[in-house]
Amino acid sequence: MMLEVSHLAVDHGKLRALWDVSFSVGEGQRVGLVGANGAGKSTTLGAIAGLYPIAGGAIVYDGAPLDSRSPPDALSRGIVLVPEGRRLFGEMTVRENLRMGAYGARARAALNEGYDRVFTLFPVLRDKQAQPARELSGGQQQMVAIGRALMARPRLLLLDEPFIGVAPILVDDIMTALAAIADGGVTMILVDQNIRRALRFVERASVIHNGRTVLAGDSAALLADENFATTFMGLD
Amino acid sequence: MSVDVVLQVVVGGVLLGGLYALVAFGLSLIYGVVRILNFAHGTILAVVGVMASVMFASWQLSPVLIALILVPGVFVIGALFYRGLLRPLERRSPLEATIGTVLVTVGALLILSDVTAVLAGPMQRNILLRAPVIEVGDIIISITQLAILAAIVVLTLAIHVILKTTWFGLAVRAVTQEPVAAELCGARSLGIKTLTFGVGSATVAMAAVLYVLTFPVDPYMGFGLTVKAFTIIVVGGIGNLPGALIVGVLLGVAEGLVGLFWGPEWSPAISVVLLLLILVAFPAGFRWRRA
Repeated sequence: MMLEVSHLAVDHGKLRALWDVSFSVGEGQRVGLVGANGAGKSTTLGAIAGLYPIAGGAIVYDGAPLDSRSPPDALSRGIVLVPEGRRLFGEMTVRENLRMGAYGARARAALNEGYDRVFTLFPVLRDKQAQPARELSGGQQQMVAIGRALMARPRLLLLDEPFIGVAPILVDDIMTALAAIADGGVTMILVDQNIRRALRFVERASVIHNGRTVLAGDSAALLADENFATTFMGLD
Repeated sequence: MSVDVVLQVVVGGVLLGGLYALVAFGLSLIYGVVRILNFAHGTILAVVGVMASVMFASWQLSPVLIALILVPGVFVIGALFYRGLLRPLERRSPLEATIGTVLVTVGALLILSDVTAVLAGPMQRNILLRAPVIEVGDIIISITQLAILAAIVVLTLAIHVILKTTWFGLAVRAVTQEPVAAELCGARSLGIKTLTFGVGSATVAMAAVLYVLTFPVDPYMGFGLTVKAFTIIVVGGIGNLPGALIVGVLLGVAEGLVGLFWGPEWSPAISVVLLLLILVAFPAGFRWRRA
């Protein structure tokens, strides 16, 4: 397994946000984390990306404990998060946003390759390179956010709600691009509140409820499971 | 009063304002990245200015050499000041951290001013270079003033180029706009904050050496300068280089003209009056940035 999360607990200040989250991801897999708003999906991704310290349990990555003290530590091991709400550098141009994605030492050397890769995946961005990121539509901004993460040459890409605020016609475009990235050998964890949509994209998913993983399985099996459908799809 | 006198005052005001803008730019660079209001910022100009004039008077060093000695020194001291005294406060609760940084920076202001006054004396000083003058009509401009103006332009352009093209500049802008995303991109905040504190302090040190070549400095002038820099930042916009330059020059010229028409004792008040007027007229601020 590339990533094994076992009995993970995370605190936000004095409040416990994650109690007991366990799941694993194999190299090259696409795995989903689904569940209601506030269930702990984003916190789980944040802990893997080095944003939050671990209060209990363990994250093992490539056979060694992942004890990132900050996102740059995780990034140097190939783990890159596309954060919820995109968090672009709004006053900076699209190209500068992408360049910032390549800030890490490994990625800087391959800067031009990185631009080419992003513009091949999202051709619409090529013409908007010189525009400030805040002027783009929600879907285009999401493309920049994903592109910025790609510039860092991720092995494990963490996607936190990449379809929120994206026009429906662009959702398919972005999903196609993500599939192409995954086919290129990048492992992915997708967090999406829209469970049906998430299960269309990922091979396996874990359901997080109140900070605990309560169910896991293959996408097809989960969709077929009547109990799962009535309990969790109803939340959507 | 003749037009020449007014124009002469305007020339001095432009120089003064350009230097204010440099001071403000260092302050806004630091605030944007580190989110600390450094109340001792203007005092760096006062102390470095006094040191420069003492070095000139004692050893007849050239101002360029003085800058080459003092600016890197201030860079290192600024970085150490952040790492040693301000950084530890970040582990406190937000309220304690805010009060702590005010105490530390105001404390630094008081200590720096007093120590400088004890060692060098509280009087005003400057560096008087014998330089030829150019007469444009009836306005007299010295070569020194022209050199200061050129230095302000070059420094402003240099800061602009650094922010726009280097990895450090990119990271500074990224941290200012979205600190979490900047970390997710691999920018280590501690290193960038430390460097920024050094660079912001060094910017004032450069302004100080230019300042003392044409305006008098004293150990206690720093706080007034910090207030002016705050005014420039609030009016011109955080991290906005052209905005800071425009507002700085307006402020410098306004001070000169107020001093000329109403008397020099009214000059320091103009920055506060300007700030209040603009806050009343544009409560939401105004954006200079290109649409």
